Amino acid sequence: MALSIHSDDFQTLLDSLREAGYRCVGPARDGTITKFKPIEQAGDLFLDEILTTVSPKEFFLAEHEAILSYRMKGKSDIELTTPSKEEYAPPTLVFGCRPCDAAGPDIVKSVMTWDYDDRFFLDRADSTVIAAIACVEADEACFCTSVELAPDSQTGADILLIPSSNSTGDTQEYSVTAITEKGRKLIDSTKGWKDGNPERASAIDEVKSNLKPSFDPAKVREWLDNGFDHEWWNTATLSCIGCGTCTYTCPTCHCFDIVDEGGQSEGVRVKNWDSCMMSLFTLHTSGHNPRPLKSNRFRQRIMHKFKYYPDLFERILCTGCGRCQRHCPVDMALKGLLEQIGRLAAETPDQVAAG
Amino acid sequence: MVISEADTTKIVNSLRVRAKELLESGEVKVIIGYGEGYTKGKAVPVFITDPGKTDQLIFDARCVNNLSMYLKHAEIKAMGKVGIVAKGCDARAINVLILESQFKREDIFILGVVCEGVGDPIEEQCKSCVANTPPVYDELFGEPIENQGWNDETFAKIEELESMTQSELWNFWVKEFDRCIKCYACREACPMCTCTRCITDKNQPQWVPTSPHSDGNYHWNLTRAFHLVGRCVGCNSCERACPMDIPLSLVNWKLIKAVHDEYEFIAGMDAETAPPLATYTEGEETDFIK
Amino acid sequence: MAEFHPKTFAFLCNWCTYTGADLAGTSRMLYPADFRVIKVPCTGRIDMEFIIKAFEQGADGVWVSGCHIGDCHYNTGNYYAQRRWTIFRQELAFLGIDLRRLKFTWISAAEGRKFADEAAEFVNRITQLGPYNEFQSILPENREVESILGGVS
Repeated sequence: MALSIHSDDFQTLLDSLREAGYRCVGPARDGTITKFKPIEQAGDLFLDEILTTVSPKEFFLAEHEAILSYRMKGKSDIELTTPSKEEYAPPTLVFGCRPCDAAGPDIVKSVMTWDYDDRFFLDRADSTVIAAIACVEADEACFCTSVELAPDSQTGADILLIPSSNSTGDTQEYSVTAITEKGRKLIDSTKGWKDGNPERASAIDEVKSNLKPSFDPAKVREWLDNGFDHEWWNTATLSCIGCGTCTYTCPTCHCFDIVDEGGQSEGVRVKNWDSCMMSLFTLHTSGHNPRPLKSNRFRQRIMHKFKYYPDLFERILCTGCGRCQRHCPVDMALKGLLEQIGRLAAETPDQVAAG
Repeated sequence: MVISEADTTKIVNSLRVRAKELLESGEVKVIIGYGEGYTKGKAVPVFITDPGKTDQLIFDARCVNNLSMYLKHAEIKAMGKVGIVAKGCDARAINVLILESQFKREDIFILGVVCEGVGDPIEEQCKSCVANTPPVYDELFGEPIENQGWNDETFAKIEELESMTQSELWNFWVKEFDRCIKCYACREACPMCTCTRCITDKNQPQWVPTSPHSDGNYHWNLTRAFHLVGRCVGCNSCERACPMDIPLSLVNWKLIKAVHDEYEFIAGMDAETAPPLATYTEGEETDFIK
Repeated sequence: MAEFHPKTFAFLCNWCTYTGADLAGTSRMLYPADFRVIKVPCTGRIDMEFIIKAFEQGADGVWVSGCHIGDCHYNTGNYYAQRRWTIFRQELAFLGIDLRRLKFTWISAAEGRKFADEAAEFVNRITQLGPYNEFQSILPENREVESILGGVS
């Protein structure tokens, strides 16, 4: 049976989610930026933007979380507590993210189950349902079609809402597809959904056809295979200021740092986001730094996303959301750099190895 | 507007010619200036080593970045003598860096450009510019113009905040700083943040908590601003770089004003005057210490 | 409910105020003892981080004291300190810190009486203000506070 939902029924959905024991997070304003926040009132949802300032990855890989706390009860009696799944992974619906953001956790999952099962990530992924909304708009930073995704791709989403041609000003009807069993279950246990198969908005396909792939990730990967020592890294990364904004706003960057905060009697072991764009990231205790230059660090970021990760998991560690371009203080667009690599690969296929 | 479009074209043309000469003669090894960005309509920092490519150089209101920030990068230092396109705020930052022995005056060639303000609409700090004509340069491009000078408008928001009660201010800032994600873009974008190891990266002891919780965020932002006292040139690079739109310039400008009110000092106007926190006047006293 | 004893720090310079405190002690002057003294070589040594860290460790008030202007053992340390605090206080006020919880004094080695009086004033003031709930509300849970300040109250 084909399903639909109307924006007028979002409040009904939100109310029934609460009753069914879900918390809902969706795009909302926070000062002048937008981010995913717990939503109780449909009016707080802000769905008009192409993309929120930060991705919803914090609901999978928390920006900051305690993973262990300790307390000395006597001289040698230590009480250790780890947070319970109920605390850190409550049933959640991530509502209204874009397909590129929905793909993020799905891609990152490969590494989170690789040599070690990161239960904080996996438990959250388990208890979270993602309802993505297909894009009717894109800007010049968008490049999902270059990384095997699309404005209406289903990767990583449990439910996909496709805007219909039935919209009047502030209201909008969507056709609804349950992609996974988890998504189906959420729809069955909540209200606001209706039968119906509204006509797909033509804007989606316009976006899709206008957003031509700007590089071929396979060619890029081929060049990267031999391009580690290429001179290009040094010149192309000169303008990078090394701030790491690209990695913090990225839906697939997943590096973190573990720090102990506290003292002799009690304290907490915490996990915080970290960034490969900072020199401290690889600084050894000895003082040696294997990636002392920003070109080394920038190369690591591109290599990780377009070579190492695909080598290991056959997936590109990038969803083409373009936040790295939108927020970069010096316009170091990843997309533009990959286009350059694409051109290098085409121009000098034989000279690459020689660098 | 004092500088006409024709003047601007003249400035850009002579900048390109001079940059070419400097590279050809080998006087400088690299020119840091502005060029067209990848994103349409954006101007970005460019690094030119080939004398044949100085036509990339542009200069207009889109050239917002403070280029002096690159002078601290090891990659740039390794290239040899640098020619740098400098607006007033870049030139002021260069003065501070020279004063703090980050490099020598003779290590750089300053291509000063007269600037009427950047951004569209014009950025707030430009309305109070004290260096529309750069205070230091080897060669000036454009006719010197009168400096804008401090404008009440720039301080209006600060005064509005100062009229709030202590608790209101506390709540305002805790909420603003709560958005911080500890990406340190503010630090990296700042020309003055030259420490090879920032205080927040020092962990024995860990003065500033690295966690992006309320305490860590408040502590970091308080420290960042204080370490810029008497050094900040108010170029707005930090706030522009902040992905979370935290109004960092409000704190910076509050302190710029405090330093001026107390010690009649404005950072970066020359490379000789000792910064206020690194000097004192014999016999000076304050009323809050009893 | 037990009587409230504030948790406070006093950063005292080795040469003047700390010696002044010694004089107050050897002269058997009475003053409330609800502060933990941290001896520093000079007020110029006091990084603003010390003060923030104190609040971060749960302090309800911080007292900083050193040699009178012109009396610095190192000649100029307190001049620099004075300038630093002048601006720092303005930043703290702008960012919403309660300045009543921060006290600055100059107390010489000969001023035992002044030390006892200022100590009483400081402790009474902070006691009246009560715990610094505002700052403590942003501190994360389960971080060590008690073991550092436990012996104070």
